[in-house]
Amino acid sequence: MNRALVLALALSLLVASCSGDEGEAQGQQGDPPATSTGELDEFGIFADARQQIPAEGVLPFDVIATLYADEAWKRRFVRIPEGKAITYANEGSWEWPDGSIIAKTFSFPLDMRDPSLGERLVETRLLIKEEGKWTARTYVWNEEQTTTERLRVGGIVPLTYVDAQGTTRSLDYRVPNENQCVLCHSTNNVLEPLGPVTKMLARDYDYGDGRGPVDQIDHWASLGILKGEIPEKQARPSLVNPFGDAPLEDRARSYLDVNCSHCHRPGGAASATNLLLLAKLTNPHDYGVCRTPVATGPASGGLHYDIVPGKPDESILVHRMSSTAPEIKMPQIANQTVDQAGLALIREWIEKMPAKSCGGDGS
Amino acid sequence: MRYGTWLVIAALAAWGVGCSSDSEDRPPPNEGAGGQGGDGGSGGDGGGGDETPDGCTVLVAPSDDDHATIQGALLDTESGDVVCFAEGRYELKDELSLTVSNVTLRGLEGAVLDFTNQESGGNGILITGNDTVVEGLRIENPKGNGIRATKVDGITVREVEVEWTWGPKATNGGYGIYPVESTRVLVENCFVSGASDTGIYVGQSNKIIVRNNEATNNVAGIEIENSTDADVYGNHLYGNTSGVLIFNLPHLAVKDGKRAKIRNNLIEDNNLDNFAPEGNIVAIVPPGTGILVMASDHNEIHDNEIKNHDSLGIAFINWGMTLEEDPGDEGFDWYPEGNYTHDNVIENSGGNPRGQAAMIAALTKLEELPNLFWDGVVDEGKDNSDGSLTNCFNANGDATFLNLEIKSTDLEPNTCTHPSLPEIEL
Repeated sequence: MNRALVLALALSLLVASCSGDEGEAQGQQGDPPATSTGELDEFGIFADARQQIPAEGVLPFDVIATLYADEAWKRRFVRIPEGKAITYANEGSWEWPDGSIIAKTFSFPLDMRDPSLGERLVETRLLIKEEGKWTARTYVWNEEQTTTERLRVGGIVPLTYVDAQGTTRSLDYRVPNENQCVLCHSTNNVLEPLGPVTKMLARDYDYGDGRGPVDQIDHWASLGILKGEIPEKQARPSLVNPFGDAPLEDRARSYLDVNCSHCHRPGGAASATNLLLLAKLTNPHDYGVCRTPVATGPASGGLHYDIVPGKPDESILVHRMSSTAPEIKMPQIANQTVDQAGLALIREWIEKMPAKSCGGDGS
Repeated sequence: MRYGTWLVIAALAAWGVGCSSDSEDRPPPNEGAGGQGGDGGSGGDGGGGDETPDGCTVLVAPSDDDHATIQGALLDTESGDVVCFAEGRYELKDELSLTVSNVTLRGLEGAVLDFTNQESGGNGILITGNDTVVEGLRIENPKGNGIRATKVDGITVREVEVEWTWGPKATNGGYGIYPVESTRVLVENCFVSGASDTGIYVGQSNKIIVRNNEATNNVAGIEIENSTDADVYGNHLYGNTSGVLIFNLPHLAVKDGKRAKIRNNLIEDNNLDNFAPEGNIVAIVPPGTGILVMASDHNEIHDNEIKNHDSLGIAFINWGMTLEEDPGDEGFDWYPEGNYTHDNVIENSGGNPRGQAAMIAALTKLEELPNLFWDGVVDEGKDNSDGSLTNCFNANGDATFLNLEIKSTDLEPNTCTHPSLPEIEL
């Protein structure tokens, strides 16, 4: 029998059974609201998901340094169950109550020079805590921007947008599969949040309540959703904006922290390398200076050290950040493009380190 | 009709996730293939008895989106499942990943995962679930590693082939089979060819068996790195740059690997040019090396047949021989100590020293290197009054020997024995 025909038959059978299921479900629940965006609505995150307007009791938040994701813009929201609270920690993950949901929507403005021209929502990712464990879900927006569908296996969304320089970009945006969430969001293979942690939330947010921008952690504490021993603002660990006006060293280390340390830390997916890119570490060898790679394979580019001070072009870190080849590129998954701004920052940082030979066969 | 039911199942597995998202919806694994798509697939009953093969709880087959089909099945899988891959070639542009524990991935005869056009991911298959079995699959041309298992307790890779089909190239992935930071590791009856680092590499792990495998055209056939309690036997390693490496490297979270038992292997004709990219530690390995131990202690190397190597038969070196930067890692022990090498047969070895072995030969003004080599550097700070740190050699036929440090070929000071290591039980 013709294989393609069999497949087509199988798919048509499936589509029939799917729509049947949906009809049944809708029959039980009554007509969906006019603004329905599919199963995503069930989590109570959005009052209007298309406009990304949070539901009552859902808190938007922002982080001080963002993981590069092919220039996507991100919106973040958190929902804590009524009467429950997160337990604060200076370092690492906070303790979240069951029923917590963290949402992040990725979008591309049609024209980054003028966001008022509209935007293309691409995916909304959820982290949901149930029975002491986090699980991940990914909802992809249709091209018409009317609804979403859960996409567990990942996929490619072709996009066109105008970047901040006015250049039209075409991008095969890659939605990770739900297993890949664990690659970044994990300690010892256990899923956990990355964004809402102390070092990342250390910035002000304007809640539109007339107070102007206020500290997010203070605000969460004042709402009673964040409890525990919360030190004064100055005593909390904090990254800096990699593209702000902090000293170069701090900006570069913050960039590496937010873009790399989810894997490159003890217990992270890349802990086997023991290249540790947490900003708080103080031994330069730990974060790559004159450090020989362990299992870099074809990704070394013939170079000997992760960072050669003063010599970005001899540094494996720069080589891997500059690549989009799967066996070379860092970070390993998701992005299809090089973060040019981040690369320039890391190049400048290495360039301005006092030049030093690493010895051995290297430089 | 041969493909009939399988294709239906594959298509349902791939698409079912789009309409019914809760894994609770699916029937228990022992109710057979089809998952939540069982309703739609029931037509297969009339198709002439195409059932899911015995022992399989899920069956995938080639489709027009192989990644979605397989990854969908791996996302839906539950503890106890046996996910079978029907015969055929699966074209994969993205890494596959398995996070669920106690799952078997089983390739049926002729199942090939082809990663030649891979666009994303650093591995062919990435495993983070415990007690995983991967068996019977052939993996071709992954851009990075073939199968990687990270931080798992229990990983078996059996009768798996990983091959870069165009042969040795510096741009090939680093490792064919790559368990790391794991415990209870079993790799058996596998074949790996073309890895730009190591065919079967076990790193920072404990309790390891690597047996009855075949590796060729790799820089190293097998490497045990920063790992403890490995049993490596019955392997046939040929046509690589080197046969077996037992390395300890500095600056890793897991240090002080020891007690690898390397026995009853056939290691021959490993004289391939070293094609590892510069910057990888294996790039220093001399072409024509049988077994090389660096900085690792209390290993036992016995009853191996090691023949036809240009540079080294069995060699022991300290970390300083790599000429890498002084690691400055206080917890790192540079020296290979307390190793026991006995009852090996070494033939036709060292006649054409290459790479760093050529430098050693030049240094010692030797035209040939001996069968057994030790750089002879000892850690003066340690107490070896009971001899437990001595590298012992015993009953290796008429194998020749060199202690480089004191430029001595006299084996007498190192003719001794240590207790034999027990076999590993997982």
